[in-house]
Amino acid sequence: MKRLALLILAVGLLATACSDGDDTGQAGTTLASTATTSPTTTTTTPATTTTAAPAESADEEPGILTDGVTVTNDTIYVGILADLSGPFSGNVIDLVDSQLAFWAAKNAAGGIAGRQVELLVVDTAYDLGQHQLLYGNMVNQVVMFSHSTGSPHTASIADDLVRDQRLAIPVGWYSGWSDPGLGANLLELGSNYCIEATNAVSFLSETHQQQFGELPTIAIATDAGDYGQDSAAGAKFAAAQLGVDIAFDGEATLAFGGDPSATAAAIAASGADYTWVATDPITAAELVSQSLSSGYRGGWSGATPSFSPRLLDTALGDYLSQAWLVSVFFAPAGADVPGMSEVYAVLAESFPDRFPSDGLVRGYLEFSLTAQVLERAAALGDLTPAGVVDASKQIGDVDFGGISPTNLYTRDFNTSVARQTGLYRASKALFESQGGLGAVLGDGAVSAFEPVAPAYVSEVAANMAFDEPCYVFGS
Amino acid sequence: MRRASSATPGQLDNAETTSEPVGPEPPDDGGVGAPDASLELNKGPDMVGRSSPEAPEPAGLLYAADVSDSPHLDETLSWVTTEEVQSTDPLAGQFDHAAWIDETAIATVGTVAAGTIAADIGEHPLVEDTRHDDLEVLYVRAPGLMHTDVQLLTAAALASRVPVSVPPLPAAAPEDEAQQPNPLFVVGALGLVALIIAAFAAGGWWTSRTGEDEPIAFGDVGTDTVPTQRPIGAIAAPTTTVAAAAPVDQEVVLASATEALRNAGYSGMSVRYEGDLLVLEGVMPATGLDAGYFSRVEEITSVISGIDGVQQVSTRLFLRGDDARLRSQLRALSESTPVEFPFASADLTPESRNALQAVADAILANPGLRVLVAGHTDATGSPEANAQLGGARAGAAIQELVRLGVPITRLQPVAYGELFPDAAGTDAENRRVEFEVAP
Repeated sequence: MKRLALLILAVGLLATACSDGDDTGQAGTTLASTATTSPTTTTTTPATTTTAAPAESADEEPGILTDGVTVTNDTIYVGILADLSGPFSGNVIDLVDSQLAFWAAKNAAGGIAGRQVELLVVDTAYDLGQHQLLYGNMVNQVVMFSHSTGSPHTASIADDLVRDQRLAIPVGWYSGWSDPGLGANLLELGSNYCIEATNAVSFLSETHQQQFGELPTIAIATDAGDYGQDSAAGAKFAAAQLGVDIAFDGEATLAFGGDPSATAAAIAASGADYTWVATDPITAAELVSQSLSSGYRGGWSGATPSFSPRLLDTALGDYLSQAWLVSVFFAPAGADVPGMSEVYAVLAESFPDRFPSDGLVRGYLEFSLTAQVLERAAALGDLTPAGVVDASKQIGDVDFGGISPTNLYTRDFNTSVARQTGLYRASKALFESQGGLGAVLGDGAVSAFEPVAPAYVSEVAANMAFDEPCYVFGS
Repeated sequence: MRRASSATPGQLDNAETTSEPVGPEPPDDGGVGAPDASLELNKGPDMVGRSSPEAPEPAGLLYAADVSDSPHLDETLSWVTTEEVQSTDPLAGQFDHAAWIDETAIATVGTVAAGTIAADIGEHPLVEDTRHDDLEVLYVRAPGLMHTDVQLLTAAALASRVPVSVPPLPAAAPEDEAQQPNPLFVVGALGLVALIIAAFAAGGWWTSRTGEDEPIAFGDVGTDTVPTQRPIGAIAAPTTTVAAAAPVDQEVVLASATEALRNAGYSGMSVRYEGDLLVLEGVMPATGLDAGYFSRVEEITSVISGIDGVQQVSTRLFLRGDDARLRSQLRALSESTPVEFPFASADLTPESRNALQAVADAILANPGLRVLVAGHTDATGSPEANAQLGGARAGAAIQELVRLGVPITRLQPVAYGELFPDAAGTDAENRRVEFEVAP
């Protein structure tokens, strides 16, 4: 057999997005689409030792501390605890895929401090026990976790992260992440559920008053736990501050796979002008349809995980495009923010046939934050888990080019809470004009959202003072 | 959490609801096929209209279609009154609406730039007459116009791919006239009507049954100055450096690689050439990635790397399956072999069981995707009871799919009941379960 000259070409290389001056010379400063050698050094499975004792590296960069397990002379191992088959898998799979693509490009551009970054991915299925089990199995193999799906799930490992000296980026926007007492080793991205609900209820109140000359009434329907109840707390806080009447309080009445009919009936009976929802998209769809069956004719809005543009392809799509105010933590795919062009270009090259999911954009944010922390750790000369934790305390604020509000990683509760969220309208016309669910990034398709208030900070949210989470975990 | 005793100076300045667009100027679209001219509805004049000094100067066209023959007219349009239309009409006072427009039979199709699709509308076989086509507003009279025709007009507007323009609106009502309809709200309502009609043409959905419901309109705050979402500019095509090598027979390589992948059990993957570059793509099995994604990619790539003629391999191996393919397969199955039920029953018939086998095969052939199983009913009985029956039908279908080997984690029931009848279907055809790719 002839000599194999196998080259694995990294998809969508944008050196400006995926490399920086810390790289080892392979990265370019322009569109780097040249072939690079395969990351053939990543085949070694990290040992399953239970102790990751730091040791001086014997590699070509003696200044960088490694432990030979989570970080070696040629590889940095990063963990991903993701819901790949549970209620949020629709978005989470996109998010993980995006990370894979950006890391492939980053590796092709030289990786971090001359090391390839290998991603260890497991499916937690949004199951609390599974999440904890898989964390325990993986923690000693990775320097940090670039993704941890679920607020209650991430909260359940928060103490372990501190004990094990690991960082994690939560996919879940619990307001307690900014609390140093809980989120000491958590790197928050964007705002939180509580602020999001506060902004949305404030916006609905403001617009309703303008349209009808009176305050609206609202209903609240959420999942139990940190996600749903943090969001409910924000909605109630805004309502109290604004004098908005809560016609139905359905906090903690929803659950994935549960029957929302009782909640739907209560919403309809309340006659609320708007309903704020915090659940998964499928439960939300069922809640909306059953509420309609019961005669409800009010408007809807909900926490970011409650809505997916893919719902526009369902029987509810037309209705939701009119009645659902979309709330988001991050700029949607293709949004008009400075940092989007480069990100979109990588996504379009990596996923030319992929629907323009916002999960792909969020995946970039996780990649970007992880890369910046690791590069900081490398610059400080310590890529071990402890070194990475230390580095995270020195990154300060991280600019995401407007894709996400700047997070201030100050470890000060109040100042580190971002107050900005985005409000959009799902556009069925835009959705269909791009081919519906067949819209693809390769054709330049963007999220089927039209901006309503894409960078919104309500007065109530701006003035919230955080000295404890909106919803206290376990209460 | 508590409210701060006083506002932090400067914090509100960070609110960007009234800020200027922060992004750079849109780059040249570069022919990427971006939807730069999708039909946009419900926009304030400063956002896209002629009152914006930066905007081009196309005259606005308000297309109105008489849909008086619509069987759904009462359900869809009863809350849109001629008065509301008139309140947004820049020709108010110049045009006798009462003589022209049936009291409840006007629907806004959309707003597009002047001169772009007027000819299309004029040539529509059902259009009898138009008025004011030399002015800023065009009303189309087409008594036989049905939903599908309205959709055609909407599609024509979409296809025109031109900047959006709207007619000038009356001045905003002063505060002491709060009881009057907000013009922006009315425009929003008209926009919603257009979507309603398009939705009916697309297959039907919930409609107002009482005729008393007021539409909900969002977005009247901040819409005048927020940056419009736009497509990203030209995307550079990927270029690769290909090592000089002897010419290869790509068909032979593809056949060999396909066979190698199949023999190795990677049925969800395929190979194709992009120029001289061999692309390995498909769905990466989620299991086994705890040892490392890139290691797994390399392992899979090695299956084909030894084949004669393979010089470079570009990999696109990710976790999500092909949404579009599964969606089209499921919809085709719904058409050809629908899963239907007897009256007032959630029992599967032999025909439905056979149909579900094909559904199971499609789902299993598209890993990485979850599927909504939506239970529908006819309109007999109460909506609440029908929602329950719909749920039971979805559950029965799921039970069978699981028996056929589909993991239950990939299936999610939704009870739509009577909400979404097949507009062209009989009662028997509405006693059905349908399948959609889960969000």
